[in-house]
Amino acid sequence: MGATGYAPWTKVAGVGQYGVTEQLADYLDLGEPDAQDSLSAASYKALALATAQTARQQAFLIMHLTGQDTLTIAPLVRAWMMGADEVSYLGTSPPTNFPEVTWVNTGRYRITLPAVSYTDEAGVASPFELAFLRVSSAAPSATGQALGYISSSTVAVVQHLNWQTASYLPDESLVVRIG
Amino acid sequence: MTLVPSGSPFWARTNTFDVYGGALAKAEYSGMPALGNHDLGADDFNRLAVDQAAIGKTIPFCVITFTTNGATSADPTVTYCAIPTGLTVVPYDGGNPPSGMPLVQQSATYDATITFDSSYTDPYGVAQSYTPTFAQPTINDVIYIKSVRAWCSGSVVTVNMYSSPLSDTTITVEVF
Repeated sequence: MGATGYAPWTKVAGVGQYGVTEQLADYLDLGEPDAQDSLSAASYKALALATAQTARQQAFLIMHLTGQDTLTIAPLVRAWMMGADEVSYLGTSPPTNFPEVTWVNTGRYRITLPAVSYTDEAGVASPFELAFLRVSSAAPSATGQALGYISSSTVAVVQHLNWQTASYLPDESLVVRIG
Repeated sequence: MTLVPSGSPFWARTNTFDVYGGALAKAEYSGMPALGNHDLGADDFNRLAVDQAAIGKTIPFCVITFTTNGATSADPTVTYCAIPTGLTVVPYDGGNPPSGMPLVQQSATYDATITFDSSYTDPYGVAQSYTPTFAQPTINDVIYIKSVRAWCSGSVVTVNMYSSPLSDTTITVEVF
């Protein structure tokens, strides 16, 4: 058996997809069962609500990018993604489902998600569309400023520049969060 | 009987949905449909388990807000800190944290450091090592000449601000 509803990256999770209804009640309406060997409807409702509320806000993907600008090649990527274990890769050689990260010019990189739909651990395919992007500098350069924008539902561009001179900074690190 | 959960605390980032009781082969008891308002469907519970496992992959380990104290090496004041094993909204001296909370110090004119323990124990008594990997800082200010960055090395997160010294500036950092 698979799972109801959609994966959390759709951001539509509600308690209904976890089987909760207003009428959900304990077995035969006998009241709270013994918590040591059973689970009450009230407890399950609380658990389901907490999961639904946090699911809507979580990033789909977090990446640490280290530029290789002097070589004019893609950044090195270390990433976590929902439903997958941590991976490290060269941006242009992503593991299955992870985004390609390409070099645009010094300090500027394009992140391209490989699909518009991803399959969760229960085998349910759910669409993903870029809704938020958070980027920050992870480099000990005192003038580094990270910026980024969503270019399309599957593409984001991030950049690292010197905020005093507006020139791009080479070979430094960014943290990118995508949801 | 004390039952220790399977899997690892979420910050190991390794839990799959089976840790939370999900299973592709999960089915209704004796093949009978879920019993109306008094039962849960196997597929409903699978959804909960899948979502919870997914959340655990990308949720921050720590969200912390602190205010630096002058341009000297005085310790910042932490006004909010949430980690999996605790939460404080009572301000504390970053150099003298309550048990379990991270140490926050001002290491140089422009730098503050957040130091974590190498392992944390969850409420079930399960210890799990922790090393900060990524951090995302935000200055809680509207002064445009300030910019901030953060990087991790070992158990320490360094937060650097420019162009003003870290004087009386409030920063929120999400640490992964």
